[in-house]
Amino acid sequence: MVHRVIRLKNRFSLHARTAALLVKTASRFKSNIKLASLDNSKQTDGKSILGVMQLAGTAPETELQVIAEGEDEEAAMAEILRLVEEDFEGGK
Amino acid sequence: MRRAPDQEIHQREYQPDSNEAGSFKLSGIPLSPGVVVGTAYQVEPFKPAFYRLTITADEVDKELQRFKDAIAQSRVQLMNIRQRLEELVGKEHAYIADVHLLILEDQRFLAQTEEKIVRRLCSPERAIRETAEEWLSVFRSLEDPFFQERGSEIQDVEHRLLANLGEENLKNSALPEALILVAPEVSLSVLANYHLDRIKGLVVTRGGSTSHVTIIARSYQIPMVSGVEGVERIHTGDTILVDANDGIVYRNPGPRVIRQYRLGADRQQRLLFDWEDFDQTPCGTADGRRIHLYINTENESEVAAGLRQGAEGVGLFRPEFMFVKNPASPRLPGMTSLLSEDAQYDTYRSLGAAAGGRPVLLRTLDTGEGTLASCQPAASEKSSLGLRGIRLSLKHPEVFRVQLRAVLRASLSGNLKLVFPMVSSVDEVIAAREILHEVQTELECEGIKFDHPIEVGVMLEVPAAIFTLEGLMQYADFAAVGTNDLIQYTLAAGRADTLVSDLFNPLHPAVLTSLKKVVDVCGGLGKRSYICGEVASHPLYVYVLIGLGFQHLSLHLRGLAPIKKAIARMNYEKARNDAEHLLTLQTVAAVTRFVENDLQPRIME
Repeated sequence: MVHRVIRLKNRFSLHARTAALLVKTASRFKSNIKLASLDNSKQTDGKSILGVMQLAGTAPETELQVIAEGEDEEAAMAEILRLVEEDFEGGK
Repeated sequence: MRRAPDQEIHQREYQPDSNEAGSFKLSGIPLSPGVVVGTAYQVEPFKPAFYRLTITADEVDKELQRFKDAIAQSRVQLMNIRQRLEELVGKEHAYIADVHLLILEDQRFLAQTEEKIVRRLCSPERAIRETAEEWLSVFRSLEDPFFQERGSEIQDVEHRLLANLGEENLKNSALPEALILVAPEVSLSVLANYHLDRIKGLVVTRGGSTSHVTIIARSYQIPMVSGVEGVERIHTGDTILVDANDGIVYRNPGPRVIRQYRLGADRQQRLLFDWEDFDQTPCGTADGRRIHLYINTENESEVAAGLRQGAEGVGLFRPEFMFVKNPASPRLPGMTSLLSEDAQYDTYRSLGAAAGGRPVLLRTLDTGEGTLASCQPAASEKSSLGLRGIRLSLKHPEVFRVQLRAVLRASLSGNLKLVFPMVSSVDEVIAAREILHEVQTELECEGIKFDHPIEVGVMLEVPAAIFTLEGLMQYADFAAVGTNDLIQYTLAAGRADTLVSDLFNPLHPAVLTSLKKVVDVCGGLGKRSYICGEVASHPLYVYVLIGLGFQHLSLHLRGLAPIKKAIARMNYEKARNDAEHLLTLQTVAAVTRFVENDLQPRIME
C-alpha cells in the first residue's frame, strides 16, 4: 500500500473536469484507489466519478489523501501525482 | 471578424410586412453564429413516458438486460458526442461527455441501481430515478457552490437513460424535419434526443456562453441565441428567422426581411444553412465528367443531411462507437465488448434505410485491442502496426461473426456493402469471405432472409495491398482507398508525429503511383474504386484524384457542399494532363513546384 497527500490547486477545487481526469487515470490501474478528504474526512473510491465529485469542499484548495493498494500501486500513484503536478493540463 | 455591412440591415427599423399577422422581433445574446430561417418547435420539459413501478421476479433478467441496453445505448450516444466535440472544438471540451460516460461506468451508481431491480423488483425506470435522487440529495447536502453543475450532470444522465429505456417512443418522436428548437432552457440530454443534424437553430432564455449546450451548438454549427425573453410567444409551427450573428429572432419575418438577409448573404458569403441545403444537381466537372460524392460518417443521423446536399450514399461508415462496456456482449480479451447483434442490427438497418437504396459502405471492425478499453483512446492508435482491422476480426471470429450477422440481417433495408479494413494479403480476404459464407449459411438455416450476394470490398491502406492488388481484386467487388493510412504506411511517416509530419505528403510520387495503380487495376476489371480519406476534402487533392481517374469520393459532411462547388469549376481534361505530368516527376521538390506554380492558380481560377 502506498499513500500520499495531494493538494488540488484547481480554481474550482474538484471541478467536474478535474474529477473526470482523476477517475479516468485511476481506472486505468488494477489497484484499489481510495481518496480521503483531509478537510471533511470523507473517503471514497477513486474510480467512482460520483464519489469523487462528492469529495469537493468549498475551499479554494482541497487536500486529499490518495491510497493505492494492489499490484500496480506504485505506477498508479506516480500517474496520479503527475496529473496533479501538471495541474490537470495533461488531458487537454 | 465582425462584418460592418451586416449591421445596416438591423439598424434599419424593422417593419413587418403588412399582410403578416403576429410579426415581432425578440433579441438576445448570439452564442453560436449563423443565420437560419425555419419552423419553430417548442421543446417540452423532460417528461418520461409513464412506466411501471414494479416488476415480477421472473422478469428480473429481462429488465436487467433492458437497463444494460439503455446504458450501452447511452454510451454510444455520448461517445458520438465526445468524438464530435474533440474533432470540432478540441479535446478540452470533451470532458463534458467524459463526466457523463464516467457516471455510466460508476460501479456504485450501477450497483445501487441493479440492486433495486434485483432485490426490490423495481422497474429500471424507477430504480434509475431513485438512485439519481439519492445522489442528488448527497450533493445538495454539500451546500457547495458547484452543486448546480454536478446535480445537472446526474440529472442529465438520468434523463438520457430514461429516454433510452423508452426506445420506441424516442425513435418515433425524433424531429420529422429540420426545425428550430425554442425553449426556456435546453439540457444536453434533451438536445441529444433529437437528431442533431435536424436542429437548425436554438433560441433559449437561459444558457450561458460556457454551457454544454452552447459548446455543442458551436461544434455542430447550429446558430444559437440565448437570453431571449418571451420565447413562449413563439409557437410550434411558426416561421422564424434566427440571426445568431447579431442576436435577433424574428417571428413571421415576411419576404422583405428574408430578402434583406439573402442580399446580405450573397454579399458576405456567410453560412446560411437553409439556402445551402437542397442541392440535388448531379456533381461533375465543368466539362461534364461525372463525379460521385459520398459521406464518411459514424452517425446514421448525418445521412439525411448528406443526401440533401447531394451525397449519393455513405462511402465509409465507421462503426467504432458500437464498442461499449456491456457485459452481455461478445468481448475481446483486454478490450471492451461490441454492441449486441440486435443493437448493431438496429444501427445498420436505420443506416441502410436512411440512405434509401444508395450504397452504404460498412467498414468492419477496425480498432486495435485495448484502444477502446476506456473512453480514452490510446495515443498510438492510428500509427499502430499491430493487431487491428481484418487481422483482429480473423483472430476473433466470434466477434466478427456477430457483426456480419447484424449486417446481413440489415442488408434488406438498403444497399449495404462490406469493407474489410487493413487488408495486407489475399489470404486475409479469402479467410474473411469464408467466414462470411459460413454466416450466410447459418442464417439460411435459421430461415432469415438477407441480401445475397452482398458486395464485399477491401480497404487499401497497407502498401502490401497495392502490390498484391491484382490478386485482391479477384476476391473483392470493389476497392476503397483509406488515404490517410495508405500515405502514412507508404511514407513511414505519421501526421501526428511533428518531427516527420512534413514528410506526410499526399502528392509524394510513391503515393501517386499507388493511386494510379488502383485506378488502372480496378478500372481494367470494371470494378469501382472509392477514395475515403481526408484528401477528398481538399480541392487540390480532389483535382489530382479526378485527374488520375477516380470518380467516387467520400468525405465528411461539412466538406460536401464546398467540394461539389470546387469540382464544378474543374476541367477534367486539364486535370488528366496535369495528373499525367505529376506522375512523371521524380522528386517531391518538383511536385511542390508544379503544384505551387501551375496547379494552385488553375484551381483558384
